[in-house]
Amino acid sequence: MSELPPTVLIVDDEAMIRRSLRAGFELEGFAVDEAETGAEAIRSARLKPRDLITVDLGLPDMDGAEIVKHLRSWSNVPLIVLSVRANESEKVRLLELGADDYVVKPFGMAELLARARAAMRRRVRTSTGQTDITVGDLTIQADPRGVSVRGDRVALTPKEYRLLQLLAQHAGNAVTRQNLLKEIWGPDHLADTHYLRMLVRKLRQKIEVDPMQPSILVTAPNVGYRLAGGESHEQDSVPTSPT
Amino acid sequence: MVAALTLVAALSLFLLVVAPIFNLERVTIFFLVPILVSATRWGTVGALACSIGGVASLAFFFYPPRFSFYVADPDHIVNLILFVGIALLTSHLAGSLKRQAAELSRREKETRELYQLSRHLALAHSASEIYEAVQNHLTSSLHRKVMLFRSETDAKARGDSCVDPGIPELIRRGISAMPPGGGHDSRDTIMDTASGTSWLVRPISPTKAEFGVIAVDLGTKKSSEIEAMKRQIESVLAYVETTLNHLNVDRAIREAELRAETDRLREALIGSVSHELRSPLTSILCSASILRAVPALAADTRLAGLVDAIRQEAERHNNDIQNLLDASRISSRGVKPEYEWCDPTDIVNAATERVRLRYSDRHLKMNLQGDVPLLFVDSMLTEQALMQVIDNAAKYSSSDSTIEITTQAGDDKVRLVIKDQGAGLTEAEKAGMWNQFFRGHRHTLSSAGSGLGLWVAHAFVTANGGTIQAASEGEGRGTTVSIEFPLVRRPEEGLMQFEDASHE
Repeated sequence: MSELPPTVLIVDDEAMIRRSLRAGFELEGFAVDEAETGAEAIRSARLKPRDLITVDLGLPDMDGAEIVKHLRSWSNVPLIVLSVRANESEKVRLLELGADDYVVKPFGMAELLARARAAMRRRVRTSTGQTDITVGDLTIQADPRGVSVRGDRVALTPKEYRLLQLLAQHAGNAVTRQNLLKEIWGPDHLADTHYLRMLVRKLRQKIEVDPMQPSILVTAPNVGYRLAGGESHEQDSVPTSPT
Repeated sequence: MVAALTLVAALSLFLLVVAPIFNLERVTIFFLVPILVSATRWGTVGALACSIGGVASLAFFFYPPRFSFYVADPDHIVNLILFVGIALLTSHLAGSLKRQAAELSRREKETRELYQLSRHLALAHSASEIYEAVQNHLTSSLHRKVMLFRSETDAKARGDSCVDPGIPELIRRGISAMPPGGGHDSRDTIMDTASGTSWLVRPISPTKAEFGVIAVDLGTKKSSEIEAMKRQIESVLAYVETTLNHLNVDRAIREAELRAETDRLREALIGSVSHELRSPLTSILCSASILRAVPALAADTRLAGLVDAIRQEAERHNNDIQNLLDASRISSRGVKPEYEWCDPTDIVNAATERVRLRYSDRHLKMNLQGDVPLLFVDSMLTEQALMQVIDNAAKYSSSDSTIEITTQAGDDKVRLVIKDQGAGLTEAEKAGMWNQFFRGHRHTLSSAGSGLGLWVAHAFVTANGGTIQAASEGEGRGTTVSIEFPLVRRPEEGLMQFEDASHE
C-alpha cells in the first residue's frame, strides 16, 4: 500500500458533492473513482477492489440499507455513509448492517477523512493480527490485559475494560449503543441505556483529562460512542452539526 | 323410513300378543300412534311408509281371514280407507308443525344475534368498533370468513399487500378495484376462483363509498344457501349503514383521510426541501473545509478569514434550515419525543460544540456538575433546544463576552442555566420572546433572524416535560435562561447490581 495510492469510490448523485469530495480525497493522495447510482456503484466495486467506499444515502435508485447489504454480502471494504440529520434510526441500522461509520451532512472534509482513515486502519489491524491499540494518549494492551493513559496504568473493572475494548476494536468509528449493551450486559438489556450512560461516565473519570469535556471517549449523538482517533485534527473540521 | 316400518312391525307383534289376552277388538286405532310419531320425527315420507305398513299389517294379521291380505268384511274395508285418510292428514299436520317450530327457533337465534349486534353497535364509540362488532357478528353467525375494509384506501392497502394469505389473489384484486363512487355498482359480486370457492364482495353502503367494503368467503355452498346468506348479510348491513350514518362516520373518515394525505404531502415536501437546500450546503462546507486545510491559504490570515466566513455563514444557513424544518414539524403534527436515558453532560457538550464554531470569538464557560443525574428525555430535541438558547445568547452579545453554561442537580430536577453578558431583555421582550416569529424591536434592524429559534426551543423543552424561563435585569445587562427537567426516577441505584466492583 506504500507504493500504490489508496483508492476510493465516491457514490453520490450530486455532481457538486462528488467534485468537492474528489478534490478533498485527491489532495490527501487518494486515487478517486465516482459512481452516480447504487447500481453503478455495485458494478464498479465488483470490477475493481477499492480501499474505501463512501455512499450517499439519498441515491435515486437504491435505499441505503440495500446498498450496504449488497456490498457487505461479498466485500469487507471500509464503508462510510453520508446521511442527513434526523435519520438516527437509519444510521444505527446501517451500522448494524456493516457500514463502518457515518458523517452527517453538511460535514467537513477532515471529519470524513478521520472516519475513513479509522476504518481503513482497522482493516490493516485485523489483517496483521495486531492486538494492542493506541488511541491518542490511551494504550490498550491485550496480553497481559492492561490500559494506560499517558504512560500511567489505570485500574478498570471488567465491564469498563470490556467497553473500552469494544470501542477500541472500532477505534475512530462509532459503535452503536445497542451493540455495546448487547456485548456488555447481554441481549436482555438492550433498553437499559442508563447502564451504559453511567458506565461511560465512570470510565471517562478514569481516562479523560477533563471528564466533563471528553476528548477520548466521545459521544456519537443518538447513535452511540466512539474512541476519538489520534490522527484526526478536530480543529480543522467543521463540527458535525449532527444530532 | 326403515325406522318407521320397524315401529309398525314392533306394534304389530305387540298387538298379536296382547290383543288375544285382553280380547281387543278395535286394533285399528293403535296404528295411528306410529304414524304420528313418524310424522313428527321423519316428516311426510315416514308417515306414508307407516300408514302403508299399517294397512298391510292390519289386513294380514288382524282382519279375517287372518294371514291373508284379503279383507272379507266391508266394515273393515271402510275402516282401512278411513285409516289411510286420517294418516295422511295427521302426517301433513305434524310435518308442517315441525317446520314451523324449526323456523321459529332459527328466527329466534337470528333475533338474538341481531340484538347482540345492536347492543354492540349502540356501545360503539368509533367507527372501528362498529366494524369490529359487525365483523365478529357476521363471522360467528355465518361461520364463514368475513372481512370489512373501512375505506377505499384501507381496502386498497389491505387488498394490495397480502395481509391474509387466505384471501385468493383474484378476490384481493376485486376488493381493491371496488368502485370509488360506491353507487355505480352496488350489486354483489361473486367470483369463482381457482379453488372453486365463491366470495361476496360489495360496498357496505350502496350510496356511500366511504363506509368501505365487505368481503365474505361463501365457500362451496349451494346457490340456495348462498342466497340465504346474502339475505342475512343484507339485513345486517342495512342496520350497520343506519348506525354509521347516525354517527356521522363518513365525514370523520373523509377528514381523517384528508389529514393523512396532507401529512404525507407535507412530509414529502419537507424531505425534498431539506435535501435540495442541504446538498449545496454540503458541497460549500466540504469545499471550504478543504480550502481551510491547504497550507498556502492557512498562512494568509485574510484568506483564511474569508474561508472561515464561508464556513460560518454556511453553518448559520444550515441552522436556519433546521429551524424551519423543526417549526413545520411542531405546527404540523406536534412533537413526539422518543424518550431515553441521556447524560446532560453529553447534551450540553453536543449543543455547545455546534455553536462554538459559528461564534468562535465568544468565550463559552462550562460549569458542569460531575454527578448530575441522567435525564429521561428525547436527546435530539433537548440538544436542539439548548443549542437554540446558546445560539441566541451568542447572537445578542458582543464578541469577547462570556457565556456561562451550568448544570445543577436538585432533589427532583435537573437545571441547565445559560447566562450571557449580552443585550438583556426589556419587559416586552420577556413577555413575547417564546412566541413564534417574535423579534425584539431593538434587534430587527441590526440583526437577521426568523423569530423561530426560541419558539422551537420552548416547544421542544415543553414536549419533554421541562420548563424554560428567562430572567434579565434589564437592557444591556445580560440574560439568564433556565431550563428545568423533572427527574422521573434516579436510575443510578439500579445500576449498582450490574456493575461489579472488583478491579483487575
